[in-house]
Amino acid sequence: MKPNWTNPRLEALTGSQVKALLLVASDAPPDLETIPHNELLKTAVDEATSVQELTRIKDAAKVLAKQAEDGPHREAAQLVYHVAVVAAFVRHDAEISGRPMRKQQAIYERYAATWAGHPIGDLFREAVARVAAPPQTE
Amino acid sequence: MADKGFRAHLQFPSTKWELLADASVRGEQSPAALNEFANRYYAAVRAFIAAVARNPVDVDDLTQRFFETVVLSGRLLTRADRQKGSFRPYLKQAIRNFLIDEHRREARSVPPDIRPDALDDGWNAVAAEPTPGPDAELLRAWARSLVAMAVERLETICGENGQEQHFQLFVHRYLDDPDHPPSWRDVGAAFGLDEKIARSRADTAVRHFRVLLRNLIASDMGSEKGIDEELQAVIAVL
Repeated sequence: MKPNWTNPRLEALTGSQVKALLLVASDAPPDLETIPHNELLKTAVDEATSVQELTRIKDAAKVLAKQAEDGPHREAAQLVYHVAVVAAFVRHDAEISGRPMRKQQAIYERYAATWAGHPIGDLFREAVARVAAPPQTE
Repeated sequence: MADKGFRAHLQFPSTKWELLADASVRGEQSPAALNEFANRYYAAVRAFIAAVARNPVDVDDLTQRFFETVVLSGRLLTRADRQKGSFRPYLKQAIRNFLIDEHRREARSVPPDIRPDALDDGWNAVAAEPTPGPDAELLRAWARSLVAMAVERLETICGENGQEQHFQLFVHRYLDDPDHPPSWRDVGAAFGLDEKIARSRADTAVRHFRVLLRNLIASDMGSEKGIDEELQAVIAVL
């Protein structure tokens, strides 16, 4: 008798599902080119972008997140929002969000891990370090 | 062997060489190790044979025979050189050799007045040289097997930890519609949870899953180095 070496869950997995789960397991940062709103992201990450421009990007991201038709677009808009906020904080020492930075620490840590090895990850890592640092006494 | 008893306590052997050794040895460990080995490689071997052997009718029989005559007999292990590193190139060459042997065996069974070269397809029935097609087919099938094993183990672990909902959230986010994944808000809404709780619980399952899948890949490679390169190589052919 032939042993049954087939796996029902294996038979059911599609290529898209396998790819999605391999990406989940990968430490490599996501491909910026395939992310919605990547032009805004690139501008927000650019060291030369001013605080005024970052504020404009943050506000645009807020609108994009509200108008998003699906999960990836909404989450991409949220990423743009947070990148603009941390870029202003890290590069210009400016807080352009009404929400205190320390309350966002967990979110920033998650983005830092997801984007490790990429300038976006560096921004979040630096933001986390600054937020976690004890306040300076005079 | 002294370390044999120790290995029997592991959920699965730490490297493919140990797995292969256990799968080839008749004893208590053998059925579990064979099952593990087949879970990992049966689909990959079948996919490779389907791409290399040009007669699709024989694929299932050939795959079965490869496992019986090459894996279970211990031939795969005794001819292996563990110093050569990655297991898959060795496996592929073993399959090619097996197919050539099979073809010769069949050729010998025809009347002596018929030369093998005069058979349908002749020696062309086996593609002896490596080509991207069979390699990619094997890689895809191997990745699919490992992902399926990791998902299965994740479900077990979540069940043991009372985290069935964590697993369901993971499935809903990553498996239900991977081409159009739902937002975390929608994932949570499907379970009556807010976005943050849904994400946090699914992230717990993600952490388990990452460890499970990366361990499976590392054990195949015999090292934890290069896992991400391996993942990227597989993603590129999907």
